[in-house]
Amino acid sequence: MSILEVNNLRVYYDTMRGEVKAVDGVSFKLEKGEIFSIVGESGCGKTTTSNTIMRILPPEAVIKSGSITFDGINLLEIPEKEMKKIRWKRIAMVFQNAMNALNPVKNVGSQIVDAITTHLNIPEAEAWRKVKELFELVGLDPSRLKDYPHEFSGGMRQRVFIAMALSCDPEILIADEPTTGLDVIVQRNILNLLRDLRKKLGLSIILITHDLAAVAQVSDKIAIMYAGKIVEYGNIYDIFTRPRHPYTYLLIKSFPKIGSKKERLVTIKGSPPSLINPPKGCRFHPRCPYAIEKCRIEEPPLVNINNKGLVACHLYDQLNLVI
Amino acid sequence: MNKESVRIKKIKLFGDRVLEFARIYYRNKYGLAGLIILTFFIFLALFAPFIAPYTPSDTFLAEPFSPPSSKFLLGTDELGRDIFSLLIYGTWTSMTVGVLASLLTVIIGTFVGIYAGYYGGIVQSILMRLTDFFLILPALPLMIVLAAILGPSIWNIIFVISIVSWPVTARVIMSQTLSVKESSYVEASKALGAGDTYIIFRHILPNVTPLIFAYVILNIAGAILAEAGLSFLGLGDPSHISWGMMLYYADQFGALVAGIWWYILPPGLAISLLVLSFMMIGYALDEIINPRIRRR
Amino acid sequence: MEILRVENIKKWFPVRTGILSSILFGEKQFIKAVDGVSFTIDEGEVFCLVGESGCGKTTLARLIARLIEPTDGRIYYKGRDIVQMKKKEFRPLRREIQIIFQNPYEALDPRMRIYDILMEPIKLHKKHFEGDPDERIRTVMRDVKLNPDEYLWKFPHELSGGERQRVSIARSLMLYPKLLLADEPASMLDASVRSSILNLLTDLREEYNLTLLYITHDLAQAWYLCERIAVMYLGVIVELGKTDDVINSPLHPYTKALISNIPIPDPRRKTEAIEIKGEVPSPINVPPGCRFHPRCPYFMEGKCDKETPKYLDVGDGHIVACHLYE
Repeated sequence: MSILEVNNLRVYYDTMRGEVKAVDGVSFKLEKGEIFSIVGESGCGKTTTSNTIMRILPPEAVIKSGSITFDGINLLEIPEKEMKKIRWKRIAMVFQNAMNALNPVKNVGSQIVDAITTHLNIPEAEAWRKVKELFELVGLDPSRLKDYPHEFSGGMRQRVFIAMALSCDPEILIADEPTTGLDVIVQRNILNLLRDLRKKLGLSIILITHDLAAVAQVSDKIAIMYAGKIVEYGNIYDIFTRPRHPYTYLLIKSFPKIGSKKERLVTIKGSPPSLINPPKGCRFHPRCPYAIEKCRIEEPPLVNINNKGLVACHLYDQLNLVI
Repeated sequence: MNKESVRIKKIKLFGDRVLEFARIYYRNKYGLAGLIILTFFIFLALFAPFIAPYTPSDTFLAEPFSPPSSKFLLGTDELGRDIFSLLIYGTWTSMTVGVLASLLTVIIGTFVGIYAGYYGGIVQSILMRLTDFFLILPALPLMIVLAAILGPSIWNIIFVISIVSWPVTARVIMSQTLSVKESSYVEASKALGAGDTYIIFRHILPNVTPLIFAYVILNIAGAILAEAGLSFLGLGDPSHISWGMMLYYADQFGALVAGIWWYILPPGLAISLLVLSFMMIGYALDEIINPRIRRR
Repeated sequence: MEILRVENIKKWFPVRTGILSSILFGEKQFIKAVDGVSFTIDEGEVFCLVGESGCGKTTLARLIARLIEPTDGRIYYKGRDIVQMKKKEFRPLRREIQIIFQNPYEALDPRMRIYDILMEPIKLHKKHFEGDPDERIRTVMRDVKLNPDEYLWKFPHELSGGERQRVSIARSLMLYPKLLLADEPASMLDASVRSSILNLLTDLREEYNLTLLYITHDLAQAWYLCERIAVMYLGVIVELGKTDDVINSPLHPYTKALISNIPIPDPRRKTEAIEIKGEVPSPINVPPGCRFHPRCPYFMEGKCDKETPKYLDVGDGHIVACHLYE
């Protein structure tokens, strides 16, 4: 059963240089209890997508079309007052660099207590008990509740922030680049924590990241975004073993893979396009080694492949891309 | 490609950039309005003898304080001098003092700022304590005291204004210098063996130049006001008529009490307008230079 | 043949403290960014320094490029001690030792065109440059796979991250360097661009006969590029050896943890990560004995927290500093 459904979402930014088509027709479903990753390079629209779900877009962003259905409600249509009842309480978010967003002059425990008491109507003593539980849940020592943010390392602060996001027992957790800027070992620990939380709390998680390698170990499903569009969507095993879209394929092949044979890395020519004037047809065609005439003219639709996944490529059934 | 063609190419590219800059500037309404007002005043200052009906030394002693008429467009002062002519001749003084004082301010500020920012250490500490010292001293009383000691002359006024206002510029230039100094491109230059002089002139100066420009313009506005203030207090150079001095004489002869508005309003308005034009240009430049504001 | 030898190099940065605390506590505190590192690099080799943030790898690169002066130790380039050398004496050597930086958005002067950026090395070494500067610029641009006619007159902000990094590499190549210090040149780039920079460096190494000191936090990059790897932790090298030896049979518990935690873009290979508690401690208060002991799963009380482990050669130049192997 899907808990969140995004349908044909288009979000553009009005800038002096023109309209930036940051998200241009994105659809996906988040199933209950799954970890769903949106992977893409910087500027592909993944953060805009998650910010739209939370309705925390900057003023220059315009939602052109689409719907986001959560529990039968279209989040894009309800008034801000209603959204406040959903934001943090039912859908919570951990931001990129959240570890630097804690108030430095307040101990972390009372910061979470504040977050709880402003959102839920419970007495402070109970809130403290709750924070203690949360600390244990995210793997922090409850004896450090009264410590200040600077006494925690980056990874621990990220855990504090995750505890804060979980303080109102949300149904969905959106994690936007939760491990960027952390060391490898700490990164892995945080991702494992998210996996454990899913198991323990039955949480549904949307993981937004640029790091394809990191999500391979924790996600159930993946959507690959390129230039404002989802180009491929599917089960993690299918995507990593039998990708259908050349972009996904090349991306996976461009990572040096320790432990396998050392062969020359695959590269993708050029760089991601400007979203003011994206290329016509398939947006990946100028960088695609397989592009044919049709790719230049016609935009490929997202096609369902044997109910296993979706792909937007004219050649999906002709290319034999195997990792 | 030989040297000559590279030079030609560079000149052409520079021209393109100037044109591009002009195009962006032209789109900025405030900047354009400021520029139009300023052009008008520059015109007045340069061609004062041709525009003004009389000279500042033409006195019609029989007709003091006469109201505006066809003979005296803005009336006369206590000595029967034509206020319209005084106003036009005063433009030159106000503008010269403003521009020169601002240039001197920014030159001192840039020198101190870059030196302190680049060399750091004790030099930085000393220079910054010095700027702190100037920053906490109330500017106007200091200027009054200095101007009184040095005596009335245009050059003293320019000197006094610059000596008091350079610290703000120095601070800004210093912080910009610090950030440029830490950048990888300066490191790369050093790794190639570039010396301090090279880095200061090739990397730091070009990167603070936009700031310098904006500060020159904004400082002119402040300097014009300061000159008017000092002259109004009677510390101006009596051999050069300026708008501030006109206000000083108007006040001395009780123009305000007597309701002789044509003596007070024109110089007051002229000061406001000229200051406003520089402010508008300054902010327009800041907006163009600073891309973060530009994006909105 | 050996091109670079680093001997027990140290760089301690003084911590800025207030007057009051320096009176009260007397002792001056230091950030021990690099705290006694030794290694050698052979000519033509690709040598990699791997470590997490704060392990001192960037400081080490800046020491070798003589952008900062070491607190102690020796650096020999082609047998000559460059630490003791006078600035003037070292200047000609700067052509041979070049550095490229991590952040492509900061590495190029925003007020200079690509042409002028690439001209800078020639200008600074006019006396020693032979040939046509324009021709050289165009050649180097083609070497880094940028079309000179398209890019020469652009400003850095008109380029993408990957293109900027190429220009940055081009600048370092202008004067035919011998030793290239690459400080995480691919880490801030998007995945689709990163691999092209890695491949470019591999190609350039052949074409220019470069010796490459590659610095990264990403073991996968190190594995792909390098012949030998040194793993750094908190200012010291904990393990050093041939890439395959270090990756396939790591000895130091830290190296083991690092390798087992590398994310692999393949869900079929569920690696069991060795869990390491905590994070890298501050380089101001370095733990006594083995620096890794507070986080080490094999911690031996009375030994690891007391004695500094010695470097042990287990064969074939595979060196480790750990009490487990003594």
